[in-house]
Amino acid sequence: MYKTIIIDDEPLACKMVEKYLQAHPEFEIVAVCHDGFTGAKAVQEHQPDILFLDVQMPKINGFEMLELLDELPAVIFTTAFDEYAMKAFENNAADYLLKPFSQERFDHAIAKYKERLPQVETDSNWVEKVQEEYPLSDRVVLKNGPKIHIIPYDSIILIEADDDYVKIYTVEGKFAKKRTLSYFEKSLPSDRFLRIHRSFLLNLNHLSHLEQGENQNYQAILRNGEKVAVSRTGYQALKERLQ
Amino acid sequence: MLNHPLLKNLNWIYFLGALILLIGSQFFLMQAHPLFGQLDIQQLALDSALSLVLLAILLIYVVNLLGFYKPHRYIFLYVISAALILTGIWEFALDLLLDFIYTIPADKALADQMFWYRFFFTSLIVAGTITISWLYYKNYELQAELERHKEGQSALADAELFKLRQQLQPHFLFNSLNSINALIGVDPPLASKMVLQLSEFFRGSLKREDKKFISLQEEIDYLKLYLEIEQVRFGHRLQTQLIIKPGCEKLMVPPLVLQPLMENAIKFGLYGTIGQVKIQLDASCDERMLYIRIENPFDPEGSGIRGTGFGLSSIRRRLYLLFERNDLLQTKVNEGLFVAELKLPIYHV
Repeated sequence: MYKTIIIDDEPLACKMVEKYLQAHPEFEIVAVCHDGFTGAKAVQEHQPDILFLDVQMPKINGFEMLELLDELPAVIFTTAFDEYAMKAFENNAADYLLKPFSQERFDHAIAKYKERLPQVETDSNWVEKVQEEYPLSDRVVLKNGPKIHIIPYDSIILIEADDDYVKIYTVEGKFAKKRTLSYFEKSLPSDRFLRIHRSFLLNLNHLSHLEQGENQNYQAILRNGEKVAVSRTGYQALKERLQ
Repeated sequence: MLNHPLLKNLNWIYFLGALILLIGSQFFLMQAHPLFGQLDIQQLALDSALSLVLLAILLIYVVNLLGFYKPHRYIFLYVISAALILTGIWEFALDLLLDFIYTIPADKALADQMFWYRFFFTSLIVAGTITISWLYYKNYELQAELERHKEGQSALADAELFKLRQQLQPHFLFNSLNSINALIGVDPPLASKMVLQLSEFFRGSLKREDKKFISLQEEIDYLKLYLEIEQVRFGHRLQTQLIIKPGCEKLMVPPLVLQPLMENAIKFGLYGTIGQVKIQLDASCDERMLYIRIENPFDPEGSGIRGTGFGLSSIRRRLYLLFERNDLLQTKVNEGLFVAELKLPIYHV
């Protein structure tokens, strides 16, 4: 038995998947959800083997929902029309069904899932890659205990590397997320975010000025008064950008 | 400085080569002549060089001048008279210079006999140069024109394509088709109804652009069609209410103002929030204005919808183009509600 969860904001779209799944009795539908929040909760609760996931959904999209999960089940995306997402799927070998889809196409996706089942990856690496290549939204979604936070890029002040995690300093407070700093360097808009140090990625909109400290080292003074170290290469990059 | 394309692309080495060749041939022709052959070789050489260099300077000037002024009518007359006048000037200047070469009056008198030969050949050369240069310039202009035209065409095609795509609303279309596909199994009559509504909606969106104004009633009917389709897709969450004060239905409104506002309301209601979405439209009017108010639930955290964009600025632009006013559309966020207030001056058409 494969535990299955269907997540789509349109009930009829969920029905369609349910109907096609009737031909595959070995799949047991444990939950049907209509948005990313209840979807994420259901996944944590049921630990399913496979998800049928819509991309465009209220509040948080399908990708952002996946980011909230600690462990990823196999995912088959169902989407009507998302150019960017489709390209990303193709590049990263995630399976997807274009609505409307036929029973044959659906069966094919199921067969493919079973085929590669032994080596289904459980790390979230590919979600990261997709987000890096085609960011669908301009914000970061993260979980802080039971609470889910949606942080627009504009309100991010600074991101600091911290082992496997990063600390995200925002206008509203400090958050942690399991991502590398170079991931954020790649996916955040480079016109605003600049790597000023091995461990710091700074939103230039929150920079007030630069100050020279001891031993020739520079410090960035932020609008909220905080000081951040700037490396020599970081200083060069800053100088180029601010000219 | 050198405005003429012929001069811009001129290879000066070839130009100098041709000049020297001409000077040489003139020199040999004069030397072989029974009459002018009597003159001193050095004088003849200087004469050839001087006259042709003078001519070259004159021609460069003329060709350059054509870059600023090109006749479009009486071209034949222009070429002939220009050639004659310029040759006259050239002969006059040359005559002054020749005094320095032929210091002996007898020699000068002999050289003067060349006047009409010179005049004839020089005016031919000048006329030829002006004609070629003029043709060259025309051709150049034509090429530039063609290129501009081509660029314009492709920009137009891009705009058309974009519009078509907007009209098609692929996301809406494919999701609706998916709903129909599901309905065929569970509720065939509803599936059939939805196919018809979808067809009517798209037919309407293709047709309406031709008209400059349509009645509010027509616009509302069209909106209802759209809302009913959305209702099937999001039945569990979507609630809509359209309240039109009696007497306003017949007023004329520009197409594509109300509909994008409603689409925005639905998009941001359905994708920006979770739970029940109530969208309300109120229309009222007095003798000068039609007032429309659209209200939808709104979450300032945003829906993160990208690419679909908030079309308000394009609606404002459209209103400005139609009425030359910037204050017709006001929006505000009020306790979780997004309110768009639209005023449309009444047109008595």
